[in-house]
Amino acid sequence: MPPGERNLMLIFLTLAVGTTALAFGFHREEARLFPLVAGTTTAVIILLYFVATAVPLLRQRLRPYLEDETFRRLAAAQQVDERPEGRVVPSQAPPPVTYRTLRRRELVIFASLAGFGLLSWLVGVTVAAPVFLFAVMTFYCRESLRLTVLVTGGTTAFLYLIFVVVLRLPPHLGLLGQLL
Amino acid sequence: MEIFDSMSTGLWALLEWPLPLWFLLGVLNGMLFGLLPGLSGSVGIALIVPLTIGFSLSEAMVLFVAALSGQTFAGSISAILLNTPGTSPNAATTLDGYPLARQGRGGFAIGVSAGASAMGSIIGVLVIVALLPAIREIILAFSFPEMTMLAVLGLAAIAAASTGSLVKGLIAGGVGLILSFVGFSPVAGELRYVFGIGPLWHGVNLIAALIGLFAISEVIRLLVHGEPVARDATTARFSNREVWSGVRFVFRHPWLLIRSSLVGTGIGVVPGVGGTVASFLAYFQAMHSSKDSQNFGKGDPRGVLAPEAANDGKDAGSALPSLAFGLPGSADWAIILGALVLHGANPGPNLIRQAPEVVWIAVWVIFFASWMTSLVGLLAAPYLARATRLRAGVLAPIVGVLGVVGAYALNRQLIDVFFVLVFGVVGYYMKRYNVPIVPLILGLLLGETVERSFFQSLQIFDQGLAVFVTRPISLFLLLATVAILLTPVLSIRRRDRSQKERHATR
Repeated sequence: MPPGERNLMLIFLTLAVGTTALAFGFHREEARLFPLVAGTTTAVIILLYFVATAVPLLRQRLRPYLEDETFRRLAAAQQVDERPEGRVVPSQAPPPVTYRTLRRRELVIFASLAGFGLLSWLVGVTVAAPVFLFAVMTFYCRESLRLTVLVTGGTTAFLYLIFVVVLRLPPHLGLLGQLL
Repeated sequence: MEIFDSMSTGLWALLEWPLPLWFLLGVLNGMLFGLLPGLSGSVGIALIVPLTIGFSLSEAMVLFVAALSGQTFAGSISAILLNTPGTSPNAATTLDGYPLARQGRGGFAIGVSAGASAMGSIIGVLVIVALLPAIREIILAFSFPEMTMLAVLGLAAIAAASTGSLVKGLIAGGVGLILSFVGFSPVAGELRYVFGIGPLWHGVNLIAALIGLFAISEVIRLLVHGEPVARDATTARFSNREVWSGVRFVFRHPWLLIRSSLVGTGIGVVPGVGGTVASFLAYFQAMHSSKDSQNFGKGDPRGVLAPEAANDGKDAGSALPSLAFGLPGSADWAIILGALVLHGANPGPNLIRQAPEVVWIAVWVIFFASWMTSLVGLLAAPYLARATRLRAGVLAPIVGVLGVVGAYALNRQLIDVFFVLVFGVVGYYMKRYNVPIVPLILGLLLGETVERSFFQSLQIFDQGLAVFVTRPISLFLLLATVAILLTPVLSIRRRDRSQKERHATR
């Protein structure tokens, strides 16, 4: 099992075990029954999955139920060349990437999304959305400044029209906006 | 004959000015809110309620129902081109629609969706007309045990949805169920897994989960790989001919179209089950009934036809309990019924007796609105499909921002933004490690319904678990559930055995 998949399954296992454990604290049986059944069953299936993938004989026997293409995909990803530095080429078929480059890009994007979430909390979704759009297009996608400004401005104007003018939703100000 | 008289009266009434104008505005409203991820048609309908003050009952009905029907097909366009379901029921369309768009066949997929929507609405309306005299018996036959079993049948589809790996699908379904328990317990009224966080009282928002799992996970993938949606993007693939060949595809599969529309209409008739269940069940019946089901999920047009036909059939079906009994068949109909009361209507048997033409106006609007949105979609498809050729650096951030803002705007809760982002990352890793996403959605969607109707069945009928096997419809649904659960196991065993035999003969 690749480490990424193992981590994902461990997160799911924690969720299932946590659900089961916390269910014992509920006062009424009606509140307890379904979380207990679902949590226990899911935890057992995940544990069986770990066992089945770890023991070669079981893995062989249960292969039709466990079959996936993960290993093949990862192997294919690791056999390709480094992407050229600089601007992202707008070609139909981009050059392939190495596994390490893939991981680096994932981390940058996850950090950007976390930044979007943090900014939404601090200054509100209304401000965070155009900032995220501008930052990703400029620093990650390396698009031209003119195109970035055009896309950010256009999207913001569209969102303003729909949400503020048509739907009459008040702009979300965030924590700092409320304090000010 | 009385029915046909009312039908023709309703049709002529619909043609009287200014009803055609309200029809057009309603359809435009539905298309706009259907296209935008997060903002469901309910928001669009709720938005126009204040505008109808001073309207007659017929005018209000036309505007509301056109807005409701306009969203259904429009939501499939963003589902196909951007892997972003415009409305929840369009989630099933992404399964094969988006792979088609990635093959550069987005226009073709929109053609299939438009054809299936238009035909699905015809079949749905025909079923309404046929069922109207017997609707009372049908609706009364569905009580809590049947609702429980119908939801369990939907959950059993988790096994069918576990493409690639049965075990991983079951795990994902279990996680979806677990997440559905967050918030108020539907029966005990006790708070569960909220950890003192106020916005969690309402549970995990399904729309936010859908946008995260489908749209944001795809945004991450596009940005990581830096490629456009359509990998094979030759100009011929975006022609009108390609779009119309999608429509022709629908007519080459009449039985699948009829079956899927009937699934949608049938589920629409049952109040409270919802279109998402209808479209997923239609998808899985299409998958199971085909001999070459291995193509589903990889860009099989039948995987677009089935959920879209069911989705439009569901619109017609859900109108039936709403208008005939005043029982909302869906969340959208709940808003419409509330608004109609403001206009002096009394939805239910009285409405059919006192103003039958208004009921038939609604039925005609469902029919025409579906055709009109399909036609607009077909004309616009070659241009809309070009969005799939845009660079990832331009398209992905826009889709990401639209998804997040749309999810926030629905309830104006910041927690929905976090749900979208977290589900986006989880969905990205689930796709990468071949863990199917659909079971998680089904678990999240149906967990509360199963739990609530299970306890209501036990409390009201006082027969214990026997209530689920002593009622014929419930028993039938239970047997269908068992059959659905056993099918993947049996097919894996059969495949395994035939492989072993092949090895032995070599």
